[in-house]
Amino acid sequence: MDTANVQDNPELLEMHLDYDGGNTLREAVRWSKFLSIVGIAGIGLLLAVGLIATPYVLNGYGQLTPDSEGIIDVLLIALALYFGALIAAAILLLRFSRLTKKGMDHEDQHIFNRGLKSLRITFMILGILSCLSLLGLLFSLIYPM
Amino acid sequence: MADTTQNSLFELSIDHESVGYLTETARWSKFLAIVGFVTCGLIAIFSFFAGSFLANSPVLAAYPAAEVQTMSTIGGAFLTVLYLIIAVVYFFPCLYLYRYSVRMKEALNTNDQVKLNQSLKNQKMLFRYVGIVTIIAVSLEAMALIIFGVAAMLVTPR
Repeated sequence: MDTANVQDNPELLEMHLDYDGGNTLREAVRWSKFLSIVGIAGIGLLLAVGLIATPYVLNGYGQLTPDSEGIIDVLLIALALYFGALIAAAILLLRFSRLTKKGMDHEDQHIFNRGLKSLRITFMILGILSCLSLLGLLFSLIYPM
Repeated sequence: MADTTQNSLFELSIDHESVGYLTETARWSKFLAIVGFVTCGLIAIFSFFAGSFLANSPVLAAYPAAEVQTMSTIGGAFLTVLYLIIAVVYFFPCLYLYRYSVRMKEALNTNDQVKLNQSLKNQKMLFRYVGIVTIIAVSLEAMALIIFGVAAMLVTPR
C-alpha cells in the first residue's frame, strides 16, 4: 500500500495513474462517451418534440387568462434553460471522455487535466440541476396545480 | 508509446492542478449522491401512497364507486411496485457516486494510491451501470413504440 509520508518526500503528491487505475479509467471514459452521446441525442429529441407539440398543447387549454399566460411563459423559459443546462453537461461529459482518453494515449498531463476539469464542471451542473429538481418536486407536492 | 511496466503504464500523475479539479469533483459528486439518496427515499415513500392518489384522481371520478375501488387497488399496487423498482434502480448509481467521492477525498488527503484506484473503480461502475440501464430503457421504449404503432394500425378502421 502506497502511503507515502508527505513530510518525507519533497513532492506533495506521489499518486499517479498506474496500470490498474488507467485501465479502469479507460473503461469509465468509454461508457461516459456513450452516455454523453445518448444524452445529447435524447435531450435534443425531447426539445424538438416539445417545440413542435407546445402550440397544440396550449391550444388544447383554450382561452387563457393573462396571468396564466405569464406563468406558462415563465415555465417554458425555465424548462428551456433546464434542458439547455442538461445538454451543456452532456457536452462536457463528452469532452471529459475525449480529453482524458487523448491525455492517456499521448501521456499528456495538460490534456489529461483538461479532461478532469470538464468532469468537474459536469458534476457541478448536475449538482445544481438536481437541487433545483428536488426543490421543484417538493414544491409541486406541497402546492399541486 | 505507453510504458508497459507493471507499476506504471502511464506517465500521468496526480499533480496540483488535477488535485484541485478532483477535490471539487468529489465535493459535487458527494452532494449529488446525497440528493440522489433523498430522492430515492421520497420515491419509495410516495410509492406507498400511490393507491390513495389514484383513488382520488379526477380521471376515475366518472366511474361507479365499486369500480373505482377495484381500479385503484390494482392500479395502486402496480404503481407501488413500479415506483419501488425505480427507487431501487436509482439507488445504486447514487451509492457508486458516494463511494467515488468519499474514496477520492480520502486518497487526496492521505496520498493513497489504492484508495485512488478504488475511487476510479467506483466511477467506472457508476458509468457502466447508468450505461446499461440507459440501453435497457431505450430498448423498452423502442419496443413499446413499435407495439403501440402496430396496435394503432390494426385498430384503425379501413
